[in-house]
Amino acid sequence: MISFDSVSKNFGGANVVDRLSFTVEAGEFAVLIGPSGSGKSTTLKMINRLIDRDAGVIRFDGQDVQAVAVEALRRRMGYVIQSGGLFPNWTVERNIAAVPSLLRWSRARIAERVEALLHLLRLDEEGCRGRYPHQLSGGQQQRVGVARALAADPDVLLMDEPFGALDPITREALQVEIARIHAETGKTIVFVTHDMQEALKLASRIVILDHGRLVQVGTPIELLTAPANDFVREFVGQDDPGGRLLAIETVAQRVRAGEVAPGPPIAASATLRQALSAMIVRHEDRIGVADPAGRPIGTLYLADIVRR
Amino acid sequence: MSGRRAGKGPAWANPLLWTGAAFVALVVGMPALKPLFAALFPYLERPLYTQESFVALAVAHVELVAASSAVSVLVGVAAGVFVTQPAGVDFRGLVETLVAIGQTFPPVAVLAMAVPVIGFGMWPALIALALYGLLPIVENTVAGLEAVPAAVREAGRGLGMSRIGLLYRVDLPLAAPVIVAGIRTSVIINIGTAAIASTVGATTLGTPIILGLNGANVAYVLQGAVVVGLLAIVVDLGFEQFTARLQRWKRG
Repeated sequence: MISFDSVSKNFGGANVVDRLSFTVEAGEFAVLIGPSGSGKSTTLKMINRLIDRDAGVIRFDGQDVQAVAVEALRRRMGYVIQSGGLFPNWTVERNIAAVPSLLRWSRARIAERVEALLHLLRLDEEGCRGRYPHQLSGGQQQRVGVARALAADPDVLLMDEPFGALDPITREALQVEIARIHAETGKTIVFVTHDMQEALKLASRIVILDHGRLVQVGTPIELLTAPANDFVREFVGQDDPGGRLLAIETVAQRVRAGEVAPGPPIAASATLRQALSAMIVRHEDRIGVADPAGRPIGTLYLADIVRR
Repeated sequence: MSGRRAGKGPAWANPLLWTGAAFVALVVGMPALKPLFAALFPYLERPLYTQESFVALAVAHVELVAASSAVSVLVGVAAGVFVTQPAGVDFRGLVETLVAIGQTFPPVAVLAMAVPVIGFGMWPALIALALYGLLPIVENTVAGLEAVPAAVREAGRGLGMSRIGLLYRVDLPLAAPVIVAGIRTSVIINIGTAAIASTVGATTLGTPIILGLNGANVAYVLQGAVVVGLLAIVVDLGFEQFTARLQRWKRG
């Protein structure tokens, strides 16, 4: 879907991005992460050409982004930034309708789309539709930002530290939300953050950058189990690597199907960490597992959590 | 200041309505006040200005102000937009200096210089007023556009708005209250200054004032001054309510 081929960007003589190459496949949730000054934000903005690269090639859907009219390119990519960047003098509805009206959709089609997005982002139940951005909470503003980015059904969603300015509870809620949206829509997402917890939780693949160079690309589990060097090891967190692994894998991946265990069951979608926690509280070495409807589907054993 | 009215209270309580009505009544009914001025100034042979009707004077005055302000707004906003665009940044210092010079020249001096070049009448007045009204509009256009949050502009560009689209969908609407405040200042100044334009032969509400000053007729001066003052108040109230309408989204 998106590929970087030896891309460099130079600001005032310093290479902010240095011969960077990686690809993001369709449907992936790719997270760009690195310390400040690693060039992650610059990398993201080169995709929709808010920043133009100096060398190399960036392809979107097989096409050099430099060869496409810039406005047309951007309208195929949703864009969400940290401070929301909502138009303060427009209502929530009109903000969400921004790109569809740029694309001159019919009024009925825009109304229908806005309706669907208000619902998808759970903004309708909070009565946000006719309000102005300054009347919303930070979390609501950011959800409107996501809805606006999704409005014209773009091929990819570019998100530049979208939850960085939110309090921890709101951030967690929105992380769950974006993971759900990714699962429901199957959109390709490129997401910039400096928060490793967030990256491990959301990413299907993580791209670690440092000083504009690629350090390692891999799934969260790959980064935790096979860090390429000390920088990665330190960055993913030396303390509690096992705990972080447990927080990524779900019960569904380790359950023994068909066996029934006593006591209230745990959801198959729960993380291993939650399952372990429940076992410790109950002083048991196994726990029943249920599907979303609450029907028991099997049992998770302590030994199975530990095995490779 | 703004937002005090804007939809609150019944329509008849709108001060704009009352001052507007007072203005019209005074302009139309000025001849009926002749006994009053005769009583106030018994030593004057002609206590009421009658060379032209006050209706004609007021219409001419408003026309002159409207025409010169229209030029100021068009040129001023265009200049302000131009110097805040990437292509015009280099001209910013030059434009601001030129506009400031236009403001520092006393309007009487501009009028005096315009007469030998253009002659007497409406045109020198129009040019002098238009130049004089530029500064607040250019300054406020620049200030208003620069106050648009960078994140909003970045989001607009990131969503695929063109530079022009961003300007008229986002930048100008957000800067509008500040720009309109500049236009308000400019127009109010012009209403007062247009009275002086009678010295170069333009017919305005200043005509009775100038005539009265020359002929020591206090009644003429008073009649012209009260109508000009009332006109300025009416227009100012109109701008106040317009500004409040522009910012309705900020309430609540």
